[in-house]
Amino acid sequence: MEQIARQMPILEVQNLTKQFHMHLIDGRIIEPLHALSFRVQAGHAFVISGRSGAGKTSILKCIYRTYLTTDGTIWYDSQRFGRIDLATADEDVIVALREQEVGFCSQFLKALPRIPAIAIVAEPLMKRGMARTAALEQATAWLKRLGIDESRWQASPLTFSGGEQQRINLARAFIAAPRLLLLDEPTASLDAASKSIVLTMMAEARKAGTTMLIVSHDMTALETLADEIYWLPHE
Amino acid sequence: MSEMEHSPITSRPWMLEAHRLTKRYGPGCPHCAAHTGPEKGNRCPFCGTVYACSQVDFSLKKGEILGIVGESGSGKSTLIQLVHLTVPADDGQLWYRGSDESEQGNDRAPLDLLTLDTYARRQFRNHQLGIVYQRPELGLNMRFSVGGNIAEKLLLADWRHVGRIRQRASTLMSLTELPPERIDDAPPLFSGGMLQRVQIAKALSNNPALLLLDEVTTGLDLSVQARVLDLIRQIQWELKITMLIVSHDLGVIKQLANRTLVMKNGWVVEQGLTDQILEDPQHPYTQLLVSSIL
Amino acid sequence: MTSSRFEELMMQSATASQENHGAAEERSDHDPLYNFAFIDEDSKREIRRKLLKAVALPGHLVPFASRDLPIARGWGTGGLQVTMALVEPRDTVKIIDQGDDESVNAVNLRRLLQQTTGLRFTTDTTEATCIQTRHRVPEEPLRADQILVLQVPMADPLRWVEPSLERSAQMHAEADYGRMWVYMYESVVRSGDMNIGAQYPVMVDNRYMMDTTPVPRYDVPRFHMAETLYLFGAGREKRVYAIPPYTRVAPLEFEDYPFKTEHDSTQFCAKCGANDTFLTRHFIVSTNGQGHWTAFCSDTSYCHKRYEAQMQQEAKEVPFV
Repeated sequence: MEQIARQMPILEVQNLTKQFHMHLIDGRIIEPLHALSFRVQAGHAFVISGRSGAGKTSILKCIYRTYLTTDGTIWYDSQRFGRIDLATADEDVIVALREQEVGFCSQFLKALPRIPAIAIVAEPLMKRGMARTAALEQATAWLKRLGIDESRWQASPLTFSGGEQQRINLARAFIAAPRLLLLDEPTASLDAASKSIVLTMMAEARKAGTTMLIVSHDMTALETLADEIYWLPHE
Repeated sequence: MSEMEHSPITSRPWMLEAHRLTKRYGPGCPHCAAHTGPEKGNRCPFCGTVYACSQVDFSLKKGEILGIVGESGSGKSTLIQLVHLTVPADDGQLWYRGSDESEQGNDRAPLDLLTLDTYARRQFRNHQLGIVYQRPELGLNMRFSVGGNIAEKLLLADWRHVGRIRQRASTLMSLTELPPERIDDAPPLFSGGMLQRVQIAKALSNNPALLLLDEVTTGLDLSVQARVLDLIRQIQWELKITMLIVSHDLGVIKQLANRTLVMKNGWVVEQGLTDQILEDPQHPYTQLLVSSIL
Repeated sequence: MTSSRFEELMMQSATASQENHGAAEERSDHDPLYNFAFIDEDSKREIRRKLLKAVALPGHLVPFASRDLPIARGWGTGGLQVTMALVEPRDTVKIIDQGDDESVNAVNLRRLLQQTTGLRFTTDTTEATCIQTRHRVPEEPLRADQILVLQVPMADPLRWVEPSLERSAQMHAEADYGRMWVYMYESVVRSGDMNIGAQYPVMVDNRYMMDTTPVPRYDVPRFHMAETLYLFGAGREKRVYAIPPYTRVAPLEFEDYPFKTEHDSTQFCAKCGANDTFLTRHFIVSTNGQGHWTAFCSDTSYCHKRYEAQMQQEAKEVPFV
């Protein structure tokens, strides 16, 4: 049964087009994405690669609704609402999905300077209604796995090194085990040791059934993990 | 694709829905419509009527935070006053659907707040709404003690036991990180940031369904601002209270609001998820605002 | 003046017949230089109309055109105008000032009324049909055929918390008395107990908040469900208000700080020995130059009655030798 379920595309992008109308520079139009189509099977690690530029991240942001889609549809097979088009869904549907099913891990950690690392990692669990102590316990486990020293847990992660920040970022993304996880260059700023820890995390998540869309140009790291690689066509 | 365009699926029912809310100051004339608008301005050159709010639509779900951002003259403060029912609207409706725990029980028939009479309006304001103003002197009485100020809403809701009132005030002060032993001190003895906390404590005293925050951190020192915003976020987290936050500062909106309305000259020019407004603004004015972040 | 007579007089105001006024003047024994009761009939008509409105809206402040009198503002012109508008030749009037018939103010007011009406005046509360008082309600219970007119220094109970007339008028209109309750809370918190001695705010018929004038707390329960009509006149502020008979008048209080009067049953009047009246303290200097505080009944006529009764009683008891 699970095999069959895994064959269903959890995400189906059709003719995705994104244009930016830059009114401040005389209405110039910039089009990072044009008529893209692809399918992602449930439980797969789907890697999006291509030349460096804003295009790859734009796909993720369109799916997450940080960007509004200019044209095209993004069919997502959600647990709560059934099959919906993320591009045109109601805003509170998106909010609900973001809380419960869809996660986004940005390229760099974005956090408030005042919040301690452990709270940042625990936040997605608490948003889902988990009690504070239980959430902090799990956050502790993740921080340990990611090799962040205990003495630093109460510090703001913005004081950490780039690689450590990214580990916090990833812990925050993985801890709530979302159904669909969007990752933007997860291994880019990591050293070899951290990279292998993260890759293990991703493999585990995949085994647990999380579907991952990974934007990366680091193919050596991801070739073992990836079920499918999508090359963004050149302009 | 066209089927899903107006998706009827919603995750939560709405609590507050505004349709075409309009507030004008002046008589109005036949030329007004053609000469006012987001780009033309909010004042009619023929009759001098100022359209503080024009046909504002928004919906607010229970437990969410809606941000309203705009510059001076955008109408955002007027909008808060309209929702707070202190200023009568000239057009439009403001539908409210109470929560399940209300006295109405399971009956959740929406109620147009703008049709309430003065007495019912005041009752609604006292029981369901809380407001925090930019300037403490608007929300607090400077001659009464802090405890008395917090107690005012409780007294309006017919609390008549001094001991219980003080206990509740004390709890609220702890919640807003104010020292409870200062309950009998008068407001002039407090700093600006602390007075905002007092306002927040007062606004929350009657467990309102909706909390309105009008530029609450504008003018405060940065460190104080950060603490007050953190407090608001924490309170929202703990109490799951629905909020409407007005600010001209996109940074404040970014920290607190799930969804945002952008207003210009009384009109809503754009609305959407906060991160979308900030990273992919569609309207030229929104793009201008976003590019002006320090 | 009975309440039915009051109604009759109101009907007369509505029709304003000149013959009635002339008849009243002929019957009385007053100085012909002045109109009966000093003010002109049109003014009386206006005051009566406003009083009618005040009676219809218990506790509500009704503005009226306050006339110039030979007495300065702040000395009882409001109460005086109410009395002047109501008295007629068959009335018996009593005037007291803080319970005392013989204080300077009471005497002056009485002289003015006497000269312009020729009415019979009395110090006996039970005999009077119309009693004008400053800051005290008589001890003896008033009946339905009597009217008590109170002099009011400041009419609006909200003036302590809202100096703006426009806003306080709106608060009254909307029954928005929250701020006054905060004032009561502050009073409790600052002094450990309800600290309002006089001008105690009350809720009339659960609708309007009213200032009881500087009567002591002792007198506040007398307003509640009383047989008599209470009329309040503020000349300086130009407003009248009323508590009709059998009206609910509830002092503002908290569940854990209920309303209390100043009653102390261990205090006795030095003259008549009563311990159930409102007492005032006077500093008495005795013949040897020493002085001490002594308590006397504030209601002097009642005190004197009791004293007289006791003297007669003692006279009876002492065997004639």
